[in-house]
Amino acid sequence: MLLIFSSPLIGLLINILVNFSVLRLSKGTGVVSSLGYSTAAGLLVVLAMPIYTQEFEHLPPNSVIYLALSYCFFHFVHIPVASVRIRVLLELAKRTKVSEAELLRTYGASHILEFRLKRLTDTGQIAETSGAFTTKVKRIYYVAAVLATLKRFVNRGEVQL
Amino acid sequence: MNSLIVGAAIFIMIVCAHLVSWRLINFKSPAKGLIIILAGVMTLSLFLLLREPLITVAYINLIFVSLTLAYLLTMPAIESDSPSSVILLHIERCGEKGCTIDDLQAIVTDDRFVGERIRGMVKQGLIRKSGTDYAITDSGRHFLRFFVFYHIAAGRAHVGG
Repeated sequence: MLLIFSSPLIGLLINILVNFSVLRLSKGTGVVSSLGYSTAAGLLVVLAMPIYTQEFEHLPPNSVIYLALSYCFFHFVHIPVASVRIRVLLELAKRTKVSEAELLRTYGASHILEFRLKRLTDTGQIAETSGAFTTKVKRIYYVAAVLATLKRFVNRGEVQL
Repeated sequence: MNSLIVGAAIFIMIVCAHLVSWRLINFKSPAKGLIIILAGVMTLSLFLLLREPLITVAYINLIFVSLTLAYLLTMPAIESDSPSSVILLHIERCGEKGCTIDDLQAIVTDDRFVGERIRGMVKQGLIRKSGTDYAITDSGRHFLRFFVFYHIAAGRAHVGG
């Protein structure tokens, strides 16, 4: 019984171990790809567990719990890669005092734009044709649209998008 | 399967209650608001013990708590603008002709993506402002360490974007 309920946590543990090993051993693998492999490895464990326990009733809830926890782990690993806040803190941690102008020279909107456009192009979300950027795959766009709708809802429509 | 339905239904109610109260109360810290709602629902879920065994109630709690944690980590994207989301929404709005780098530079500005976060971190006590200079505080260092230690342990030094 305990094995059935703990299978999402075992899956998460496998996810963390596989992710850490991939990041440590395969330097050429990106953070997002490593998270893809490790999430799949953990999910396999969660899906395989009922074969051992012969208890299939808990497979759907266990998969949902596992995927929700993996999403949290994804954020924990991915936030330092993509977060503007973490980057600002890193810049401040390097020196005792930094003026806003200096900070913006090192890491300002132009850096953010360049970095994000490169990442969105590399991951195939957008495409660049003779200096114009267009949407290629709409998957992340839909997520952005849902988040923008929620933002508009909580701010009573007063947002700049 | 029933546990999944009950857990998912409780999660949906938590999210709806949180979004509506966020809109009405205009939380200073939406995360704290969510944690209070979650704690309240977990306490109320003890009433399920009158009808269901402890293990089922614990399992239902595991389902809605893991889903709520996933929502908690998505909240910063609702709270403040994500550069990638803003870029994607703007590119989509440009249509088939696409957006030029000048179009995008007009919306990805220093104040919107760096200035706003700096002010937020000053308010949260992660950094402090003295005159025109900024410096990281001890809580800022702890916050930074919490997120980057995994990357450093995994031998990946590049963080922040």
